[in-house]
Amino acid sequence: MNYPRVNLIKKSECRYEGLVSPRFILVVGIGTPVILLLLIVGLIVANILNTQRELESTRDLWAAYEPRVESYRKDKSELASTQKIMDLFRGWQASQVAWLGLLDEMQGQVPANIQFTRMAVKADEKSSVYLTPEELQLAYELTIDGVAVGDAAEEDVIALQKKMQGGPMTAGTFSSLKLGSMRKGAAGSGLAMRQFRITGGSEKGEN
Amino acid sequence: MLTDLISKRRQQSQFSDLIGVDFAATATKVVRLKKSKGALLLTGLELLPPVDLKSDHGPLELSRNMTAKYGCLAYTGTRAIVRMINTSAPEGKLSDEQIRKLLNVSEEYRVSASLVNTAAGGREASFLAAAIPEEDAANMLAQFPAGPPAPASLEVAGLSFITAFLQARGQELADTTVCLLECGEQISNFAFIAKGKPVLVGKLPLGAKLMKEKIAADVGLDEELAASILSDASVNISASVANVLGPPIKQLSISKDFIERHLGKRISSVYLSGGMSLMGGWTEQLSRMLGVKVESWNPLENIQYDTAAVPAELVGQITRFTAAVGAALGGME
Repeated sequence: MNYPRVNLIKKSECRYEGLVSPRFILVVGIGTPVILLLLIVGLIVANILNTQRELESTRDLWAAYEPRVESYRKDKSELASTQKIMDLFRGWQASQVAWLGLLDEMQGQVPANIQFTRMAVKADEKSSVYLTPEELQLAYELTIDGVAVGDAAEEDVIALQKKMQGGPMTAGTFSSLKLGSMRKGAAGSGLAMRQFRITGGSEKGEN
Repeated sequence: MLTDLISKRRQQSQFSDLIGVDFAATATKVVRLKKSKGALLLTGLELLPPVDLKSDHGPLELSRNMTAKYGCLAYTGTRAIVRMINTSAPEGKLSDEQIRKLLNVSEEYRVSASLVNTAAGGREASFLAAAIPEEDAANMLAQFPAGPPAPASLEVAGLSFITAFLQARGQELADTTVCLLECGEQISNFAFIAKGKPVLVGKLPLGAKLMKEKIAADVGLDEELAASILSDASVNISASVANVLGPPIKQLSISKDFIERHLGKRISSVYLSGGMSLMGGWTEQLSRMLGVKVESWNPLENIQYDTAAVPAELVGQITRFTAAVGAALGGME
């Protein structure tokens, strides 16, 4: 039944007497997420401010170090260029044959009855620009034309080839030393004579 | 909306056990009611010394078995104002300012009104309005400063007795027009009820105190002895009683005639309650003066209770608790 009732109490005067009031539930329900949100936002803001401070500090540090770093980079770059040039020099040096020692050794190998009429050494590449030490490592071709006089001229030529193959300088410089040709010739004194050609070759990087 | 729903359900379960407290002139009347599976149960009844709302700032000392979580308060002070207001209220509500203006009270009064009826067309609405001094309201609430019981409602006793009557007799008198008269120590309140709704309410300058004073003066006795004569009707004091009753009952009779003419229906009965209704011969005298059947009723009708819940000294005085019962019933609604 609906009673005709006039309640004069104000809402603010009503008190909750249960364990957990609806007001408390409402306040906690709304307040907790808000506080959590504020905490998260606070942490984010603090983090941002901290990061900004660190950034400013790092910028100042960078401003102090940047010229030194630039200088280091420049020096490093120059060092690399120098190193490259030095490597090229070393490559060039390694590719060169010690001709003096080689010729000296060959002189000792050649008997008195053999005479060289021509000796040619040719490199396989010719370029004005070399970028790497490997490019500087040249392959050489050796051509020796000569004559041998005497009855044992033929054997002496073969012995020369073998000597050259066994010689430390010649064998070290040329990987192959072959008797390219040998033919009879006439010497003015009526002695036996042989005209011969010895060829040699070296691979890149052997020298 | 969800909060409202939760709040309403919680409120219903919280308000199924509460006390009604009537701050009356002669005593503070406390009842404890419980609602269980639709049935109402009285679990306690207590009569405490009166509280002087001007000087006694609480807290009210209740016995342990009378302490529920919530309390519904009823104000019996002579400065209470109750009135039916017929006015235009398109939204079915009145602001406090409008109520104050219609009741002709100042800002010192706390006011409230509830819609009772809307006339056909919805232009005119009837409101049951009440006003009590703000100071008295604050002092009543100060009687419950913390802990249980927490004040859940504050009504005027001159209206809460209607709730008690409607609970007791409302269904059987649903189609009749009746008059209720609650007679207290200092004032009496009346209400005309038609089809379960109040059509006219008011108060009369009639109370046991006035009666005792008159008899004491007429017979030459002290007030205590006059009260004794009034209760047992051992001395013929009908002349004095009639003298006291005359003007207020004439006012009630005029109101009765007005309602009968206005509604075109006879008032079938006057239902009497309150402490003064215990006065011997009072029912018959009133019936004679109004020309209508007058009967007493018990506010605990339709309320179950164990006889142990009612102290022996209060068995015959249940009618004094009508306003307190009404306040508690209203709180359970």
